[in-house]
Amino acid sequence: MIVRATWQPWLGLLALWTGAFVTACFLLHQPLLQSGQQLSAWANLLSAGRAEMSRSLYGRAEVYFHRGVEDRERQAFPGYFGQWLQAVAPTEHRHAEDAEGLETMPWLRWATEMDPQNMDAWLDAAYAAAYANNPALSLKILAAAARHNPRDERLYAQRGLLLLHQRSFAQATRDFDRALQLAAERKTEAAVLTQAELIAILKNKTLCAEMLGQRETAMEQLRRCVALEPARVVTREWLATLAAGGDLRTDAEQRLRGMETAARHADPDERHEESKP
Amino acid sequence: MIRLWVLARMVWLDLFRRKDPYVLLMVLGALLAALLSFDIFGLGNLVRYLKDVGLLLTWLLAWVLAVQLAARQLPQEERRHTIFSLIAKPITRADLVLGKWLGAWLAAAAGTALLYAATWLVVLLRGGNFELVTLMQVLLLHLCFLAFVTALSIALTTILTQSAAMTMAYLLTGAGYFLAARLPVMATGAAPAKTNVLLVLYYALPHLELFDLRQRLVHDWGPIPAGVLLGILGYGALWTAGLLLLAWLAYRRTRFTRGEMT
Repeated sequence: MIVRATWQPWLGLLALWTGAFVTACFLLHQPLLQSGQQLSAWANLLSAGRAEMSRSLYGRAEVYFHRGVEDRERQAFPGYFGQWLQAVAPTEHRHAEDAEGLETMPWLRWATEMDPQNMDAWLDAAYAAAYANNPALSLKILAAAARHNPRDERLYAQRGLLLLHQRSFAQATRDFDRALQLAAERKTEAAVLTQAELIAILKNKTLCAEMLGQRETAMEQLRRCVALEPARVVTREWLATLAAGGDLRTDAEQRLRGMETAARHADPDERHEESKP
Repeated sequence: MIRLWVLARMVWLDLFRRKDPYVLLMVLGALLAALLSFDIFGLGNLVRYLKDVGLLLTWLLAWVLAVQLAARQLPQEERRHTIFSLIAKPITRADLVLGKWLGAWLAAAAGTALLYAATWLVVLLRGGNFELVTLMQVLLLHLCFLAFVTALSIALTTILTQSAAMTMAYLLTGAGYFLAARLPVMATGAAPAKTNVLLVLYYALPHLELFDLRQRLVHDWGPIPAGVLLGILGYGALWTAGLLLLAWLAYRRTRFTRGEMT
């Protein structure tokens, strides 16, 4: 069928409108806004676009963490091209080490600029800074994250962990308490922290209490852990040791050092995940 | 050979008259300056993203430059009617195609080298540097990619109008870069008949992703083995020669009539 020349701009416009409509439907379908926010369709659409862009920038940071290697699916046609491609674009599983991890920062920064509610980006930026032995920067990033997301328990849990490693036990305890309080307040919403993460916070709080010489508080945290994971023998033994008396601080210091050594020798991917509350 | 150089020089003169590379350089400079001015949590010594974005922009701008430059050579001569004075000279159609390609390729290569220099300068200003051997390999393969793109654009202009040839050149090079590498993935789990079709496409399409070594340079993976480099260079040379042959075959019998040309 021959389309008249005068119709072509209108058909082009129709195609553009269809494209825009489909994009809008796709973006508006995403669960992008915090519940309770009442925004217009335009504001919603713009937020959705920004959140999508933010996720894409965050993905780029992940690629940087793996030294430029993106997830590559299986090659079905081996041969010269496959071999050459392997040489041109490596697929080995490697990680950015120490200060090299900071190279992910530009993408994380842009991801948080694009969508300040992107908690994964904030937490990874804080992790990258801590991993590069820059706890001051890590705290600065978490403070900025808290300004935009004051009710997200994950950032308090991560800041608590950072303060614990810095031996600021009282401040760390306050952050762990805040994280636990926010987690408990989420009654109708989906839980952000898993049970394992809640237990980790309780154990970290136990360590803080031990270092501060608060035996009862420490035992209380461990009892809560046992209630959550009754089959875990290590936790029961820890509780028994506390109940038996002895030097609280020496034991806690040993545990803390053991935790730090384990974190240093863990696979960076696991460390990366474990660092997140 | 001298005839080829004379034709190539004409392309160079045209390029500098139009000031294309300067415009591209200014675009790159403005974008890199914008990147440099961005505050990244107060960290001032990060260079990897600058290398990455700088090289990406270099690739995009060089691609545009190569297609625009090569695709206008023959149609422009025909449109201005200067083709008659060219074919009146003792040069063959093969000389014309090769001379135009050589000029377009070298001009695009020079413009690209300028873009690399600008990116390198910005990286140096930020306190970083490129690994020299890998950088040379990146540049060499990029020039090979440009040889392919210019040859393809010129070959397309022998059978299509300028704008159609440009569109096709962008589409084919885009498909060669993005689609060819994805074909094995698409074939995974596909029916045997579909796999065979994809296999044929896989070997028939140019694998332009092979010319892109940016990941190795940006993320410090080091240079590729010399054997692989030579293999890819040979592959690029074969494709370029094949396209120029096709261009000559299509152009050798083209007749030009003043009345029909607009």
